[in-house]
Amino acid sequence: MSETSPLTPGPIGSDHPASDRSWRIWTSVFIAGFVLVSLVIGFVILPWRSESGVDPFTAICRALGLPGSEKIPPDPGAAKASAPASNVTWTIETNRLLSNASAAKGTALAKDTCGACHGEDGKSTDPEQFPNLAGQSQAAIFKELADFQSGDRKSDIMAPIAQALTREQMADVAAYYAAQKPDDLRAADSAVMLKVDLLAREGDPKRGIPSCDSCHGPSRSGPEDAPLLLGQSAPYIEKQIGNFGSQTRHNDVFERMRTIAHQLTPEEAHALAIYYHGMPASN
Amino acid sequence: MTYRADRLILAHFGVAFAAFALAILLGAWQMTVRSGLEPAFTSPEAYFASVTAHGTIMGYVMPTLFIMGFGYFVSVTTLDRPLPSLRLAWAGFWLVIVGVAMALPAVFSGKATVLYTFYPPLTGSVFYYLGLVLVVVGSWFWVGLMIWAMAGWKKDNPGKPVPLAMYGNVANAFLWLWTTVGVAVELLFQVIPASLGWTQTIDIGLARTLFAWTLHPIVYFWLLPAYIVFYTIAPRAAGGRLYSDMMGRLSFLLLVLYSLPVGMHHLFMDPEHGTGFKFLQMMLTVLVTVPTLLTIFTIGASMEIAGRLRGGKGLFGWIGALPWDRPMVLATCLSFVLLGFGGFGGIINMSYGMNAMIHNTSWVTAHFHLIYGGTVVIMYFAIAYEFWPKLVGREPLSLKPIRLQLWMWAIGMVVTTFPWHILGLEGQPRRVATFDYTNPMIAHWQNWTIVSMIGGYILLTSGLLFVWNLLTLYRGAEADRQMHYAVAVYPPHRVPSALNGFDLCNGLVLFLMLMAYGYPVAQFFFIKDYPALVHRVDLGN
Ligand SMILES: [Cu+2]
Repeated sequence: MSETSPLTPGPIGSDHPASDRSWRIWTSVFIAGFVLVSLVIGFVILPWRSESGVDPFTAICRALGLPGSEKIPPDPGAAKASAPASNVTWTIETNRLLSNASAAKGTALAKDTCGACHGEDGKSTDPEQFPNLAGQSQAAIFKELADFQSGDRKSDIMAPIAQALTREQMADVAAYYAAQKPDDLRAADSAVMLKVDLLAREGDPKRGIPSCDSCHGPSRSGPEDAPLLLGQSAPYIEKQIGNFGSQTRHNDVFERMRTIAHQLTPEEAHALAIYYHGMPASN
Repeated sequence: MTYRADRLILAHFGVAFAAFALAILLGAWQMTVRSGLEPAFTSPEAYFASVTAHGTIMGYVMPTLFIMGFGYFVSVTTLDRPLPSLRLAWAGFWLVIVGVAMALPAVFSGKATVLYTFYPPLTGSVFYYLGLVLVVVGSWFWVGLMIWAMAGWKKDNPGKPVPLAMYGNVANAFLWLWTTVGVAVELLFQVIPASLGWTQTIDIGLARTLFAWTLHPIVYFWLLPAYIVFYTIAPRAAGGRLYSDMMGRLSFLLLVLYSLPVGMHHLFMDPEHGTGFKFLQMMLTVLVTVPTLLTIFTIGASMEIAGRLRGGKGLFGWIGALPWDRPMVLATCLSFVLLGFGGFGGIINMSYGMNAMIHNTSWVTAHFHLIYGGTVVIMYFAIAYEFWPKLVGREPLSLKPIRLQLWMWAIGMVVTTFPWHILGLEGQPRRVATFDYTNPMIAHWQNWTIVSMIGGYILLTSGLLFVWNLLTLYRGAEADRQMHYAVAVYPPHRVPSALNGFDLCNGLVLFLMLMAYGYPVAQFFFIKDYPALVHRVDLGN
């Protein structure tokens, strides 16, 4: 790296400490210089040139990644969006509440209150109106109850019931229903067209619709609160898709479901509902 | 050569290659799963346990043990003095063994299916992480012994140049010490507390940064023995001399400098860092081409000297005159060719813009298999073929199966990784167990996956042939146990202290690491961020 270094073959080095010193100096100068040039390009020239109308100081802050200096323009809909879709957040406290919940403690509540509609074993007495809860994810049941309580999800029946519950009770009863055994079903892929099957399993990248299964499928790899869909009645699912599409229901965080449901055709919503209604797994 | 440490070195090599044989078996099985040909084999849980074991062995166990053994061999043979402490060397070895015995059962029982890169918040059994910590701590014994050995020699030989192979060896020891800081901090302060249930959240931005600190230079740690051998053994094996001793020293020094402050090129798509530091680390990554090109030039020149000494004439005639029947010469050439392909892919990866095309696709897997398998491991084979006869005092029965093995490995590497490059460009994600090839959109991926599976079986065959070749050695004729290294055209009498020790090197690394990682790591302590919830695979949540 040093100009003084003999890069041609030959007896190298010498007995002079001066040679050592020049190695030291020139290597350090080269490396420090290279770093300096890279810093100037990376922190000043590139950010400044690629973002017009920004003073150098802001440009440097952005290149550093300092919060508050992002180039996201102020969102005109920010005021509207600032009203959260749901008050439930998946913090440590919420998770601890759910993992400390007791299905046994939830039993009495399920029998006395919920069972009349949703069934003591989680199999709904009228699945077209009241969803099946057996085997539903605990997080999803808890989140819906909390949304009914806060009014983020509207229901004349559920609101007063949820308002009478503590957060611990909601977690307990959610744990109870999550532990109930659902019917043994699989998606009704033979009842719908391949296009719908693909929509459920792969989504439609052209319309920016992710696959339903990526959040609602058995792996539940999406948001914590995404419910399992398999086994709900087709009319119930279709109605909820419709409600999201028309913004009547709006407790989906980040408007995820409203955005998707808005794009689905009525035929697709209908077919997807049949798909997730399911069929006996043994068939 | 009066001093030996044969049992110690054979123990390291033996365990390294036994683990290696297991890992290539797993690799071939993984390709079978991904090919979708045998759906009965297909279970994501088993697949990820296998990938974790494969990566853990190939990333941490095999190369670490191999390089430790290699270092002991180089130290004893070049310095012609005993190791400073054989007892500490054995202690380091046994720490690694205990670590492996802790980590692998945790993986195979499905309690640590977190992959060897263990990006949190996914967290597995604490035994997996503690085992790896022991592997690293054991290797630190080796680091200490190598530095100690060189210091002792220098004290007794003031002003003399440290033998080139030993200089490279100690460069690798310092490189490893710097490299392991990142992962050690991540494991001890973040992952292990989470895996013990002491913490429920983990700052994944910090964890990924610390791991990137380690993940790039670890590859150079694996690579350095290959480079050392290019300079100090290959020219002699070809029947010539090393073109320049100075180039070797310079390359080793630069490899240490430019492999460390660059790991953020693994995080180009990550949100936790500003663009400025990503750019800086990209620029520093580019510099790593300098020692590589120096090496290709110097070794090319050394080979030309050898070819001409053997009567090769004309512009290219010397190439044909090289002794291609010698495994070391053949392996060096194959390693260079595969380094060319792997290096080309690497330039795409480290380019801030182009990285986005191939991020998290099979392309990346293809790249690091080419560099690791193609450039590094093929040289480990050549080193084993070179050292083993010296260690056991036996000549190989025949060079034919050795050459066959090296060719099969190189071809297998190409057949395995070229399809991955293509699939990566088509968007096939990495770290995925199975694909639904009935989906017309990705149906044609299956053909390429099957090709790479065939490559996997070629590699498996070659790897088993390698083990066989080592075993048949014991039936060979008595061999010369003296190790000879390549002599430079102009052997150095004195070299600048910067190229005879590591004071300047370590000072510069400290400076570069502070510039490259100082703020990016510090920001996690003053910018409010949102830690992720720990997910424990061993508890099933
Ligand atoms: Cu890298």
